[in-house]
Amino acid sequence: MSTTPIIEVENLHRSFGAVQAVRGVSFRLERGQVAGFIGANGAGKTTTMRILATLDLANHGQVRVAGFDVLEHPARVRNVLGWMPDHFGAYPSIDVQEYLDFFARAMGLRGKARTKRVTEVMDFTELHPLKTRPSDRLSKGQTQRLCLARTLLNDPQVLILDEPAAGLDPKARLEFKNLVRILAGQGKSMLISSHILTELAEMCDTMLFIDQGQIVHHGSADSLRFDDTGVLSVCVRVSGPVEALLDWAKLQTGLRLREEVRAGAMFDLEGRGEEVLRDFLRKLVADGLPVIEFQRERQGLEEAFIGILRQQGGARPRPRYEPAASAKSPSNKN
Amino acid sequence: MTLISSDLFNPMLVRDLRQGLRSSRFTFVFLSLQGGMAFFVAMGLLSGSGSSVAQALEQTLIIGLLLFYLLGLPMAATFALSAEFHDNRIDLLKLTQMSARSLIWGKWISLVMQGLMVFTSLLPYLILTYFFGSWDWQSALLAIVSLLAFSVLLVALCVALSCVNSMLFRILLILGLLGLTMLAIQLVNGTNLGAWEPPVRALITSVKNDPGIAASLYIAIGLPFLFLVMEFGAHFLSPAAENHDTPQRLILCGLIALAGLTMVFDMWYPGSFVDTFTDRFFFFTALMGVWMLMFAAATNPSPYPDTYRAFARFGLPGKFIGRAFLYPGWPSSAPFIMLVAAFCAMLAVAWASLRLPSGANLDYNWFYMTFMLLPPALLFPQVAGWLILGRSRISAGTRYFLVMALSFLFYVFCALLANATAEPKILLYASVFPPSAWILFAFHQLDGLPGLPFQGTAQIIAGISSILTMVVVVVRTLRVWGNFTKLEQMARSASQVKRARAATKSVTEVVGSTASTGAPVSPLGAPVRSQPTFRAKAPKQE
Repeated sequence: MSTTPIIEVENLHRSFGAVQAVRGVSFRLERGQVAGFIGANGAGKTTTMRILATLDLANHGQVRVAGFDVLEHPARVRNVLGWMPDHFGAYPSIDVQEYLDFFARAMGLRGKARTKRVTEVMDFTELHPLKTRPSDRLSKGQTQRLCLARTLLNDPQVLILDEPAAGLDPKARLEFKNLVRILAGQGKSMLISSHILTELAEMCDTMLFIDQGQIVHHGSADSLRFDDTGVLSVCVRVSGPVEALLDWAKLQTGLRLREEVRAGAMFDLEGRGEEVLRDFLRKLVADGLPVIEFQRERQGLEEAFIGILRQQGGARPRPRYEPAASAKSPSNKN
Repeated sequence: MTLISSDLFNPMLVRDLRQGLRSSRFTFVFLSLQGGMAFFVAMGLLSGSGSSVAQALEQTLIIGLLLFYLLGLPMAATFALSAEFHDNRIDLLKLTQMSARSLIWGKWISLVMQGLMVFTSLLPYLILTYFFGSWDWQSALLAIVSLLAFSVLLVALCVALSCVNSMLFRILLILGLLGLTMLAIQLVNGTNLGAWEPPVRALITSVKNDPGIAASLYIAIGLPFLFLVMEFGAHFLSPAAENHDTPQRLILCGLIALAGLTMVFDMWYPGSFVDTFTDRFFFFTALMGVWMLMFAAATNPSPYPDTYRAFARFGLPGKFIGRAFLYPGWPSSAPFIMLVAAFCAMLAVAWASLRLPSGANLDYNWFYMTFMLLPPALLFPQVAGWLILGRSRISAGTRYFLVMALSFLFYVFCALLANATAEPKILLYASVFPPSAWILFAFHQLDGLPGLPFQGTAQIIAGISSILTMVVVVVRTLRVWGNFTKLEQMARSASQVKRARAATKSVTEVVGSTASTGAPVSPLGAPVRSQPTFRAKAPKQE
């Protein structure tokens, strides 16, 4: 198996007139990785994905998919890539099977191989019962499954899915998530954009956060949740009076009381890594405090994302539009 | 369904036929025509041949066919790809293995098939009218075949133009189709077409009298036209690095060469079979040439090294021919236009001096001016775009056609004013801008008008503005040649990298370096891509 990264993006720039949609985006994804691509509306997700899918042109920078430059070898890139847009129009008077048959032909499949592949993708996406239904008369969930089936026809190495779960009801979303899990299990590399961060966190090995055309964070969901700013948040509960705990905390260096909670308190602990946590717990027990609960606090993904945006905000010019942080709905918090 | 399910056919054709034949639009048109034809035959039979009812019904049927072939089918073609642009469908098509060419050809073939299907379904009625009606089936068949043949080319043009994702463009196209249909209906009704009457009647007579010659002329012009417009349409659908300009120029070269051969043959063997269509062939070739050259002059050069790889492979001669004539974009279109204009002028003058009747008065001075003004006239909008609208956000193509249209309107304005005031000297102003000057000189010659009193002054003014235009073009071209050098080097080094990798792969694992070739490499192991100074074909923001 080749060791070339499946996606390499280097210093990508794209502007539409005066609006800079993408500003110096660089990242790489290894083969078999599933990456989440997160950002507010207008952050540059779709533009970046369209450039990756050879559907748009960068003003500057280099993009390679499976080792092929998207500008120099768009045809080769298209052979190894499956693109699922956020919305697409089906064809009137064409049923599900004919729709897939058309795209299978267009992708160069011939004869029995074509029929076999169409059957396979219909089986995988459970579209068999709908095969005679007109493609423009499907529900949102069924349409998304049809689109995924089309994307899989050429058995792509890498899938680029733009907001695949948008507008789906919880059942359809769950079904879709399961399909993505199976594909990930088959070793397909995927770049998935979504607004629903928690769902992405469950599916993705790595997350790319984009804001105002720039990547502001690239790492696993956990690396984002456990804030890497040098401060660990810990919740401690004791069985006796809380005052003993608070008095003890006042004597400790590198420890700050964040807030009192029922039967305990939340502390900010200076330091990084599990050693600091282990030593802190050991000290609590050694000093005789009746600890009944000790928990490291994880941030919600949205909260963490907003935190990153706040950190970035100081270093960058004021955004022209509503910042991503304020656009988030509190109900989405983890 | 088994036949169209075959792998032999273009996927787009299969899908469009499946979709098109089931659509209510096609069903309605098909059933209406069948119903109309049945009614016509029945009424014709009842009223007896030659009656006024039968004649009126015949005329109604012809108008119905005109509406279908000149308006209905081309209108469907106008929206052929715009429907795909809707709802991201075109993106999904672009990601398949279908090339832009097969996509557009598939669309065209499916529409032509639908047109043929209607034609075939009408044949039984034509046979019936032969036995029972008043129609001369041979002339009716010839008329329908001619109409179908014309419609086929019109549909191709409309499919190609439907690739330009612009509503304004489509509206103009539909207005043009409406105008054409009105003209055809007037012709059927016997209304005088004014200035259009003599050439249209001459065309119809020549088709009637000599269908063989008409068919040869149709093939000689129609086939290159078809390929030209299809390449033109494919240009808008293909990836940016794909080159569709060079094939268009090569097709034009072939067409001009064919026209030249016909003219030379006609000069050597007067009165031969080509005698009747040489001038028409040349006229249509020139018309297509000007249309194609306008688009060549309106296009910016490609900033992608891959476009230049095919030329760089042939070393210095390949690069020279590319730069001078065949690279996509205006820099190479300038010398190409000059070459075409010079060649056509030479041919036309030689042919006219040998073949025109001795009494014919051809003003060579005006004639030369028309050809000499062609390159600056075609390149002036590009120059005006740089100088006046350079910083605007209007795309290069729109800018070009805007200036061209304004120049045309300026000429019309001057002409109207000159007529209204009875002061021909006002036309002198039209000679300031090369495109309007070109129209002034070309129209004057076509109309066979005597030399204007200000001929010398007009020539001097047009000459100065043309020279200035060409100077700006040459200066810009030389600047672009520097970029070409860079792109050619990148194209060449990329080819070398490919060859080196292929060679290394056979021995051991790919090293992933271009050090052996001396080409600059990026940290990713690919040739470094510098910021292109040309403007890329920028897609619209979604």
